[in-house]
Order: sequence, then structure tokens, then C-alpha cells
Amino acid sequence: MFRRLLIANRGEIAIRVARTAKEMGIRCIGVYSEADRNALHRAAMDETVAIGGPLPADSYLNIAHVLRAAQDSRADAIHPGYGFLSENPTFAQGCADAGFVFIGPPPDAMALSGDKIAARRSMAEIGVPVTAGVDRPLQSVDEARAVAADLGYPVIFKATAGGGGIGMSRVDRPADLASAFESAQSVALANFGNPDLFLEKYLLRARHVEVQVLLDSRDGVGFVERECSVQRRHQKLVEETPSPAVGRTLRARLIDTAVRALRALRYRNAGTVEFLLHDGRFTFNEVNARLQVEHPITEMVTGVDLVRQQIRIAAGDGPEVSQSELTRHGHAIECRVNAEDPIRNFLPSPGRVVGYREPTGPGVRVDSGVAGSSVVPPYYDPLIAKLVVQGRDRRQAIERIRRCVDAYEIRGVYTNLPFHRALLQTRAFVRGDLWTTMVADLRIAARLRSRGPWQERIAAIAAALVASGRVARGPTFPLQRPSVAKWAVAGRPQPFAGGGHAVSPRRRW
Amino acid sequence: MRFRLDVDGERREIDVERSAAGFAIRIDGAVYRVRTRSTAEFVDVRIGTKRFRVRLQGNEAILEDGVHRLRIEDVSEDRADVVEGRPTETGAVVDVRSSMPGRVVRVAVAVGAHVDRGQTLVVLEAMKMQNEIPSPGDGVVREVAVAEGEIVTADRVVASIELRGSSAS
Repeated sequence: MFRRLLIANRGEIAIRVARTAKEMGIRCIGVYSEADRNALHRAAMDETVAIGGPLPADSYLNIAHVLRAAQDSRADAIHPGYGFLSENPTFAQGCADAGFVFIGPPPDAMALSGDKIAARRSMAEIGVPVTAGVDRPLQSVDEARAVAADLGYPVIFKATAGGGGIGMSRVDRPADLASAFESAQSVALANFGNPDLFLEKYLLRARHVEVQVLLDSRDGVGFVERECSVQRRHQKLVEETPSPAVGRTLRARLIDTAVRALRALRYRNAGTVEFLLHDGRFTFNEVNARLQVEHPITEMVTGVDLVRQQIRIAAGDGPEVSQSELTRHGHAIECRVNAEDPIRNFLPSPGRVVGYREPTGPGVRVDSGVAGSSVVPPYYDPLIAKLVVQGRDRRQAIERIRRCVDAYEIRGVYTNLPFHRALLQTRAFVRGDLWTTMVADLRIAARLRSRGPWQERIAAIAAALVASGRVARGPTFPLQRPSVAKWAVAGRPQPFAGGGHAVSPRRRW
Repeated sequence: MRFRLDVDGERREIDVERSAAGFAIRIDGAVYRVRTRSTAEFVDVRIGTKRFRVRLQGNEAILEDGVHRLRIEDVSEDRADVVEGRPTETGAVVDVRSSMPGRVVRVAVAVGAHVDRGQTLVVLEAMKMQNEIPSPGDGVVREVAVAEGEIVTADRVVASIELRGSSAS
């Protein structure tokens, strides 16, 4: 077994990995950027090493800096967490070359999973149903047009090298195809250094389900599916297990397919196979070659520590559970807590946490990267904590997580907790009627504005106007027509409505 | 006192009663008991245990979370007429502010450049999201107050634009 583990990540996942490693008697070495000098994850480690500037490219994404830290701290293994370098085959290879055990899949399996077209082909070869689409990079708009006409609209462009929802572009009408093609290409190039796109049929009202798999050279274990349909702009917000839409027969097929799929890719360690569920049929979506954000819900219902299994498999000890020993208790739900303001179109809200209190109680787990007086830097992912609950059944899990969302107190930065509160009340969610565009279709975030926190802000503004005497004199505002700020995922040039802008005339009332 | 307040494009009827302790503000049937403390620069507002610091500038209220656009209509004497301000006056210089804390990833204009309404002046990035800050009107860039790579706070002036008449219709 390893003696010294370098955890090449930050925030809640670095802390979560350290918890298990410490239980296994492994010394934990953390890394931190200049922006994370006082971050909570440093306190969870036995030692920490500074790896550079605040920008991810200068620290957490910098292969040379991370490997240097591993050498200097005499680590024997590296856990990448999720995001950052976790799915970078060059990094995985670099670890091996420098003599560190990379806790994850072998570099070639990782590269194969990361190439979406290659992964689709591999799946088709072993008889796994794939979503209708093309298995070659599109050379031109004309080719895309011909393929789309064959598939039938709507279609979705995906980047061959893509991930995290970036570079995906849905097209509903032929007229929009050319501009979508060009912008998706430039986004793919900017984010992944590779402009190649392919096309898939876009499935309306599909569910996103996925199967967690553990593989070593002998055994393969597939876990009960997770449903991750509650998304916004292809980013997951709420996950649960089991899926309310999957029965015993379908579950067995999903698990069998996922294990077979990863075997075909010569995969080892923990990985996840994502499927789209549509009209009771499933098609392969993609492989996530890492530990996933939502892994705790699987841990909650099975009692299996997935990070422990990852470390054991990497060390050659194999998983502690076999498929037949796997049991399942109840239902688990996770809400991702992001430092984003759902009332202001999910505007990022970095800043200092000035008040913090976590919900507790039976069946409750909070994996958090922040505590009172933590700083949430603007450089990294907005995820600051994960609220996970388990209940006897889905209904109890919903009741429990509602209670926890209400009890969760985070002050100083805005969070999406009000969004979760609203979502957990919607009839569709309670019924288990979930689909990937439900957040937008049901206008859940928009409806938040008609209650609580938004009203309070308006009241505060109204009070300030009256207190400063500006309203008493009548409507004396110099008025301006608003122009709308454009928002985009980093690197994505398409505009979308919303966001605040900032204009103020330089003159007196 | 009654007035209509339009915040970021959403209009609410506001009813305010002054009391010795502060105000009772009624919005859509909900009543908020509010205390305020004003200084030259901002108004501190307390609602229950929550505190808000509000800065008022032009037609904007700046809260800690960013900038909200405001528009007021006076209905206290049942004058329902909407007072339309002139959106922009030729020669007026407007400050353009950042809507969120973040890093300046791109400054898209230089001093002296002509810009159109809606044209991107500066691109901010925070938490892997980019936010393009547009020009509020047609005009000329008088000042660019930030540089690429710089970290800005939520209501920082990023540029000043001298407006030209064409958008003042």
C-alpha cells in the first residue's frame, strides 16, 4: 500500500480524498495555489506544497508544477480528484514516467474514453446501442447539413475532444446550423485545442442515467444507476440513486452494458458510463474516466467507499466488494451547492463566507470545501459543497434534503440553495418525472424571483431610496434603457440573455 | 407613500409607511420591517437579521452582489404617467461597471475608439463563466480603467463612454 499520497486538487474533493487516505494510514500531501493559501483543504492534509499562481494554468492545471510537488514531497501515488488534470492522459503518463502511481485509469484507456468518436465506435463494435449520429469528424458545414437532414432535427454538435458540457450546441432548425457549426468549432478549438465536431440526434425529454463501475484486471463491479437529469446548461445540479425510471430488468442491462463497455476500452479503476434514457431505451453517451462529483450518493446507498476502492485497485489490492456482495439501502439525493446567485441568472458569486452552518442528522452527509471565513476565489469552479442525504425511500430522501436545504446557512456569498429549495418543491421532481432540460423548461430559476430572497432585495433597495429622500421628491431618476449583458461559458462566444450590466450616468439627480 | 419600482426589468408596487423605528415596506402582500442608516455614500438596510448595504448611483442600486438597474414611477398621487427619462444625452459621460467580481480576460476597446450600443467593451471571467460587458450606447471610449489579467470587484468602473446622440431617441 502507498505511504504518501499527493492529492492534486482543491476544495471539497481534495478534503474528501484525504479523509479516506488517512483512514488507510496514508500520509496526505496537499497542493495549493496562491489564491488558496488559507483554503480549508490545506488544513485537511498532513503536509501541503505551494504549486504556483492563482490561475489554474499556473497551478492545478500545470503538470510540471504538480509533478515537481510530488517529487519534492516524496509521494508514491497521486490522486487527481475530478476536473483539473484528472482526465488528462499526458498527466497520467507523466506520473507513470516519473515513477508515481496515478490513481485512475491507464493513460491509453483514458485517451480512448476522452475521444468521443473513438469511444462511440468502440461501443458500437461490442453491440452497445449508441445515439444516432456520425462517427467521423465533420469536414464542412455542407457535410453537417447532409448528416443533420438524415438524422432529423433537433441535432446536437459535440466536440470530439469535449467534456463538461463545453462545446455542445443544440440546433433545432436547418437555418441555425451554419452559425452553430462555426461557433461550436471555435469553442472546441479554444477549450480543447481541437476543433473537430461530430453530430448526434438530440433526444428531447431524455433522462441522463449513469453507472459507476470498478474494474481491476480480474473483477468488474457495476453499481446501481445514478440519475443526473437535473441540469442547467449541461451542468448537473441534482443527482439521485436509484433512478425513479429504472426497473430491475433495465438496471441489470445497464450495469452489464457499463461493465462490458469499460472492459472493451481496457479500462481499470473507477469509471462511469453515461447513458441517455429515452422511451424506455438507453443509448451510450460517454465515459467519465475519473471519480465523479456525485459519487457520494452511490456510497450512501451501498456503504462502499469508492475512493478506498480506487486506492486499493491502484495499489494492486483489488476492490473489496464483488458484484454479488453488493447490497443497496434506500435512496440517496445530492444537491450541488454552487457559489452562484440563481436570482441573477446564476451570476458567479465569489467572496468571503462570513457565516456558515451545515445541516446534520441521520442520513446526512455534507462534503464541503468551505467553512466560516473561507474565501471563495473567482478562479475556480463554483462548486463549494455537496449536500447528500439518504432516506428509506425516495419520498423520505426528498423530505430530508428539503429540511437540510432550509437548515444550510451560508452567508457572505450567494449560493444556489434557493434554487434547490424551489426545485425540490416542483411537482415534476417530486413525481420523479425528470428530463435534462427540465430546469429551463419549467422556468424554475425564473420563478424564484417571485418569492423570498429577491423580494427582500427589492425591499432593501426601496428602503434605501426612501431613506435617502430620492423617492419622496418624485421620480427623478435619469433613466436609461437597459442593454443586456452577454453571458457565455468560458470560451463560448454565443450570447444568452440575462446577467446584469452596469451603467451609471455621471451626473446629479 | 406608493411608487412603482422596476428592478432589472421587473416591476413591483411598493407601499412604504414610515414609523418611529424605520419603515414598513409592503411588496405583493408581504411586509418587511426595515431599519436604515444613511451615510453620504451608502444606505445600510436591516431586514430582520439580514443586512444590505445599498449604494445608489444614477439609475442603479449597487448591492454587495452587484448592480441592479432601477426605474421608478410615481403613483402616490395616482399619477400613473410613466416618466421616461432621456436615455442618453449627447456628451454625457457614463461609467460602465463590472457586474461581478472576476478577472479581466479581454479589453476589447481602446481609448478614442467609437463604439456602438451593445458592443463588447470588456470580457470578465469568474468561476469558468465569461461575462461580456457591453457599451450602454453609441459613443466614444473616454477611458479604459482596467487591464487584461486584472482582478476587479463587483461594481468597479471598467470604462467610461462619452455618448453620441444617435441612441437618444
